[in-house]
Amino acid sequence: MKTNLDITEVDHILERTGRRAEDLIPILQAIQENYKYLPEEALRRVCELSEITPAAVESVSTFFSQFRRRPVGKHIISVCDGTACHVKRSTAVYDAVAEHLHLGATEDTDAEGVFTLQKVACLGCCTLAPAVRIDSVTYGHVVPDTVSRMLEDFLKQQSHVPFQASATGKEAPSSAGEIRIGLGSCCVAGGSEKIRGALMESLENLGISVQVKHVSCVGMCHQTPLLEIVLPDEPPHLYAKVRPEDVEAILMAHFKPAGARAHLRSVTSRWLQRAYTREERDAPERYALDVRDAPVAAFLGAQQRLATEYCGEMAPTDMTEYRRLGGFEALRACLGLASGQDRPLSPETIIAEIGVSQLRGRGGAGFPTAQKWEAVRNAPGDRKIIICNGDEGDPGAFMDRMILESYPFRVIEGMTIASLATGARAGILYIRAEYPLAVSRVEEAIVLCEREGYLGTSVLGSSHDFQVRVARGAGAFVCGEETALIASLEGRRGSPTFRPPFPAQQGLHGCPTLVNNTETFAMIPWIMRHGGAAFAALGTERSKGTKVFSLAGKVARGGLIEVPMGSTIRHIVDDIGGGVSGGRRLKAVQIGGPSGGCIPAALCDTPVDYEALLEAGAMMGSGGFVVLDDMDCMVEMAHYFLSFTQRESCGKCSPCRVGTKRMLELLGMLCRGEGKGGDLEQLEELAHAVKGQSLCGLGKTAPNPVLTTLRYFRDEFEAHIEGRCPAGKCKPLISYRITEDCIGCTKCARVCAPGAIAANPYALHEINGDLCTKCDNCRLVCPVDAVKVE
Amino acid sequence: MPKLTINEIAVEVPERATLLEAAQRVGIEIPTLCYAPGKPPNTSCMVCVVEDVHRGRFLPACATRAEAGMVIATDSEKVRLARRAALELLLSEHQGDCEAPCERACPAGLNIPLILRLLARGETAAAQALAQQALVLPAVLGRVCTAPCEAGCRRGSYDDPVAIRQLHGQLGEMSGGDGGTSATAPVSGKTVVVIGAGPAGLAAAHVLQGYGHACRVYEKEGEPGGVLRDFPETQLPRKVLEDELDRLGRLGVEFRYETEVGTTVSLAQLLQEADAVVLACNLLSAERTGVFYAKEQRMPVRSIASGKNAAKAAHAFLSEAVEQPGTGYQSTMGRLPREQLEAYVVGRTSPGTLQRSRNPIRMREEAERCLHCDCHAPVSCKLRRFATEYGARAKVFRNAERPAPDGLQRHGDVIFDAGKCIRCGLCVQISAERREALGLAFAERGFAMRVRVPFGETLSKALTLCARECVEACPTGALAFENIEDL
Repeated sequence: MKTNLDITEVDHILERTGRRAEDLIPILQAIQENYKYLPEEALRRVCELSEITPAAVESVSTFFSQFRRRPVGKHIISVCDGTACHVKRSTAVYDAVAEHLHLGATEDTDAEGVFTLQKVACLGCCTLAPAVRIDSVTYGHVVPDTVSRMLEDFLKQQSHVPFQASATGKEAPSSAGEIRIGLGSCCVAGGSEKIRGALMESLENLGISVQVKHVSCVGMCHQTPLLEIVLPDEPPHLYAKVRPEDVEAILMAHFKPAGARAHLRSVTSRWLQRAYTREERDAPERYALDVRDAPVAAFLGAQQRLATEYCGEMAPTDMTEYRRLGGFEALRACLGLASGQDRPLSPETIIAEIGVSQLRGRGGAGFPTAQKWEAVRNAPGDRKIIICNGDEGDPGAFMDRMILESYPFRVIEGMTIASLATGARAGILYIRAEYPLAVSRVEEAIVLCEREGYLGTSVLGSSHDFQVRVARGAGAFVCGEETALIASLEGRRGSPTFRPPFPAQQGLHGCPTLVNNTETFAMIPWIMRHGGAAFAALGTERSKGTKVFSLAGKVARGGLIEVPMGSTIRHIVDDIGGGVSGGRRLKAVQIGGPSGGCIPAALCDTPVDYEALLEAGAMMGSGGFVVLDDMDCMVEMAHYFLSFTQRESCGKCSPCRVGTKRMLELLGMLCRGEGKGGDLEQLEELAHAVKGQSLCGLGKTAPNPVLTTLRYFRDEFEAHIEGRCPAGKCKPLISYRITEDCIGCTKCARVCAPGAIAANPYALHEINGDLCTKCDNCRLVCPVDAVKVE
Repeated sequence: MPKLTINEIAVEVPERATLLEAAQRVGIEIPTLCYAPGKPPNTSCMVCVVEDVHRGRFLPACATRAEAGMVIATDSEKVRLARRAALELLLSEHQGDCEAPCERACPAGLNIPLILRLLARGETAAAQALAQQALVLPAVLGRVCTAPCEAGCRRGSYDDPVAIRQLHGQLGEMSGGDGGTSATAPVSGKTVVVIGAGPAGLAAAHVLQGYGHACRVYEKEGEPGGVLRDFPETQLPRKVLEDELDRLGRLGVEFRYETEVGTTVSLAQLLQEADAVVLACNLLSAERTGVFYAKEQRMPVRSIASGKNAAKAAHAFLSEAVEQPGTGYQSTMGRLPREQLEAYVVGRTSPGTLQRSRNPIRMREEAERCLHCDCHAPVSCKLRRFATEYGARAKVFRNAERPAPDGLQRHGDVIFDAGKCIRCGLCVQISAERREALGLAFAERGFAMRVRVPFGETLSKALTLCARECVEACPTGALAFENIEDL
């Protein structure tokens, strides 16, 4: 492999990216895009041609999980192990793929070199859990059984020319009304691109000319793909979980076909009626949604949208529409361009308005935004920088992805207002590499904004310059920490540094730097448009406005939601989420991801409020909201979250590097039934040491999921020491048995991969405990609930 | 100029001074591992934490700027426990032995890795002196010892242990050598009487003589050796025993045979004629000032150890010195699985079979098989020092995984033992500052993070300018000079 590698491409890459130390991550990303991994010869060439040192290359290329130093297969299969996927058995999916590819214990690539398998922290498609991404194609709701079909589908699709998504229709529509297709990642993964293909084809076949619009995420990610038909004087018709073959029928129901095929309309229309009422056709899930329907109204109606305003109505990169819906009004007002204004708002006035709103950072810690802006404004130095932190890495959270994908203009507008307030002339949107759609939408939006004068030199003709660019993260949760984020932007490992100095004083390249979360910036235009007081009117005493959550896990209607602060957890789960799915009992809600905690069902009247959540042992975090039911083992959950933070620890400080490892080992022993008396005390002691002595927020909060579960579910931990797993989740502590209720349908035998169940029609089935791998498949398929876990 | 309080002492410091600097101003010492004066803080070890009393939180003293009105405690119980916790975490991933397993196993405390290094370098005379000094009867023990050292030898779990016993036996049987007492201390003017000329008594006399005390041995039999004479000729040829006893006899110790304490002479009498008495005859008497006990045991090497210890105690009594504290914290790696051992065996002489026969072995070749499990910086290691000081407990965590060892890397007289690295980052910092073309880098992240030479190159290529500086900055024995520090 080494001998025939052509490294001249490295020279071209460096021409594009630059050769400075800070260009290292983009250079490595470009090399990997080209070679699929980082060949050593290419890396050595980088050192020859640039000021980048071998030490920097070694340390950065091995730090970020995106980078691979070994050759890989033609396609990369990423199995998501985010929280929502994890509770929906992503591990079983991973195992199934590994088995399908005949991978050995230490192998990640199949013998033919076609597929490389990897686990990823979170794809941000929580409502499609468990999700798998193969190269750029995302598959949702994957179960071990469908793995082979998924791979087949992928390979088949490779031979077709991929469908290119474009932002707006080119031809002028003749019919009134429009057809909206969701093109957020969830919808795309749910199959909306195929729907679009079928739609275009059907429209042509039927001779219908109507505007087809790609809209931002509706937030109803549990129903993807969504197709909405909006006709004048009619309530909009929303179709959920649409299949390509349904498209023509749906169109026939609403539009009058032109020409010869018109007569078909009545026929298909009747068929359609039948199709949607026939029960055997996935009836409960496949129905036309209507905003007036009770569940939809509950899902959408109970929300209050500020950061996600015009959700599902607006094309993400259609600037005309953004302007029509009030976009850039806030910026114009700040620049004194609104009607009736004679001069721009002073930076002090802008900051004061944000101060009135009492907006607090939406990244998790809840630092008052106005105070941060003020600090950057007052910091000495000509060069100031604004960073939008979109490095959302929490497993089980996808707010930033959805906001960046759906409202790129709004985030840019928020950043531009911040630049006016702080005097910054450069801005960076730091976006996770796992969010390719967000990156391309934002890049497109930046180009459009520059063209229209919202960005660049002299913003809207003023004396203010603001240049914005996108930086792609390379896969490190710790880079959500602002000092680590800045380190990675400077081309170094994403290791945090001690604060103070805070970035506001000394940030990127030593310049005063404002780092705010994506959602925080998305709130700014609304606040400036409606006034800080309107924002402060929402929420609780100390937490104002609204908060975006990604609602996922064992909930009937998952999705991206925005609720006023102060809404209770119960309200979110029951009224918006439609309660626990599958009729099970609510056990706890995990809020704040790996930094947060598990709030038990008994405390579900806790309001969403920074202080109230802290008091309950959780934290707002960036907004992951994962519902757990009585089948979820809390010890296993603690182990899961800690294994995430342990994996993501940068390694710099020993309390986090070693402490999280030791905690994880203790939890692992508990899950395997190897716990001993005194383990819980040691775990607690260790948790406090890690919390108290770690350098940065990652380490300081990593013990939270452990401490809250210990606080609220201690009996469950004690049961594990006694060798029992009450939730029936920890494999070494459970066994499977088939009860007398068995009707002999043989379904269990058919799904049993290791052959622990012999098919025995119409007779009581039995599980051979020696062969059973406790994969849970038999229990899931049993129609009469005869498989018991003990 | 912020004013703050540290351990209830008011202190005023310049702007931007750290808490560490503030504490130094008032003479308060704060332990640090990852910090080097004049360099930006690494804030990695968290051993320097102090307590911010008002806010009830820990702060790394090396990086936190002193602020007006702060109330800091550096020696509270909370702080001690926090430091101990930080140290125990570091020790739990520490992949290395403070002292080699063979050395710890030897009751007589022979510095086995050192003697093997001397042999490997061809410094046979020095090796012989070391054997004689530590074992007193290296030739005899070469025949009769049960060799716990070889049972502890790490190489033993790879192929065969180094033939330690045979090596010191051979050294003992070689002619020459002055018994390792050439560098005796100046004459002290004190006299010590040792009762019993068995191995324990001989060892005690030998050590006391070495300390510069005049030494007289009383023996009830007509010749020295005691229990050693009970070994059969096949195991311990008389000639070997006599030769070694003769050598000891030439060292200036006075022997009085056929003298039995209790009958020929009383203990009270002895205490009058001597400044101290060592009883090495399994005779027990009530605790008395100036009387020390050594015990003849079944294993001769234990008797020798016992004699040496009694002599050390007697010496401490005579010189009114405070008894030496114990060896301090002992990091131990324990048994390594074979695949991990490979990393240490690389570069050592290819596996040879142990020659159990009595035929002389090629000493140099055999010595080269040693894996040198001992730490290269047992004295200067700050981790060990603080672990001892803060009472860090070994093995607090059950089934604690340690990063797989990398083995040793060499560059001239500098070695890099990654297992002992605490990831403080000082060497990485220095090699970057000195603009090494390759230098050292942190690789991987989290628990797998380690210091590595980029592109898998050698240490020699990595550190061409600042190897010594890195060694001097290294708080542990991870980067050290090949020559191990003397204890």
